Amino acid sequence: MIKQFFAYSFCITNAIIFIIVGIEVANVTVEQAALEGMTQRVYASISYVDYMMTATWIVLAIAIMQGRRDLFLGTAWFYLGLIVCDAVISHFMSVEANDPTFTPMLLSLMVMQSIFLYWAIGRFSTAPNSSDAGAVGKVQLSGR
Amino acid sequence: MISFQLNGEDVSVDIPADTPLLWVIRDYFKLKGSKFGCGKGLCGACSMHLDGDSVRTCIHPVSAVSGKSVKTIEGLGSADNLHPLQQAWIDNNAPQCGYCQSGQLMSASALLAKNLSPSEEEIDNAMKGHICRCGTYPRIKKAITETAKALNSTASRPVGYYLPTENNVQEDKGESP
Repeated sequence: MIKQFFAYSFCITNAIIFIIVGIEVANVTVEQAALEGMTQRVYASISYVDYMMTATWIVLAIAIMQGRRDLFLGTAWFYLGLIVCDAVISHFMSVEANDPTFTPMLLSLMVMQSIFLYWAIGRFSTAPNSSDAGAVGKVQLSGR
Repeated sequence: MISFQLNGEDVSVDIPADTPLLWVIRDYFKLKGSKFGCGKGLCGACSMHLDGDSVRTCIHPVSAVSGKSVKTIEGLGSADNLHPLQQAWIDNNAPQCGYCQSGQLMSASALLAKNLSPSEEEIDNAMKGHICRCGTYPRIKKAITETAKALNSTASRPVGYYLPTENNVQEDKGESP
């Protein structure tokens, strides 16, 4: 129960983080771009990646809730692809903004999330009679 | 100690004399609008005004600006009073990714400060050497042309924007590579 609560909390926290970041970077205006030389369209593009990552964390939470291992696994790989893209773009943005702390922070978050995904995928039950690639009803996060 | 004027304010820095101006502006004064592109003065992303001329600051040592006036994109206009070129940039949707735009704006404004009726050839000459990977050259040229037309109309000339006079008209010193 505690592990399930932790898993849901982790997913929702990440969804909230990315939607806040997405809204923040989308708030850069064309006037700011002209006045301060900000790369507004790049920020706007990153906001879409952030919204997509928010959606994937919500899907991951639903997959845990419904015990759907395949959905979880597919979404996790999709998410990892997205965050690698985000890390590359964000690295260039941090160079542009002279913020040396941004890339290590994002990479730390990425490592934490990868560890969580690896841990969570191992918590899905692999009982032989399950209907969805081994999952038995609800996710068995306390099964191992 | 090197003293100069930055966006209208007197500033001093104690920094190695051969440090490129771009890094002094970005790292010391935290004005991040001017971008680092090639580091060799070839792309124009780092352009700023030095005594009204557009110069490539990634190859311009800070010692060379002592006693001079430097203007960056942050000093070109304000939120309440955009420079006409900045407004034209927005109206024409000129930037795509926007990385080169601060340099482009600085060179374009340096051109219009000297020549309010630039021909196409003069615009091309002033803007050549500015590389835009998104390829927005036609929009940039259109924005400059429209701004020149607008500034030539007395009614729309903004307060404080000066027309070329004998004092402020200078020949292009060919700082751009």
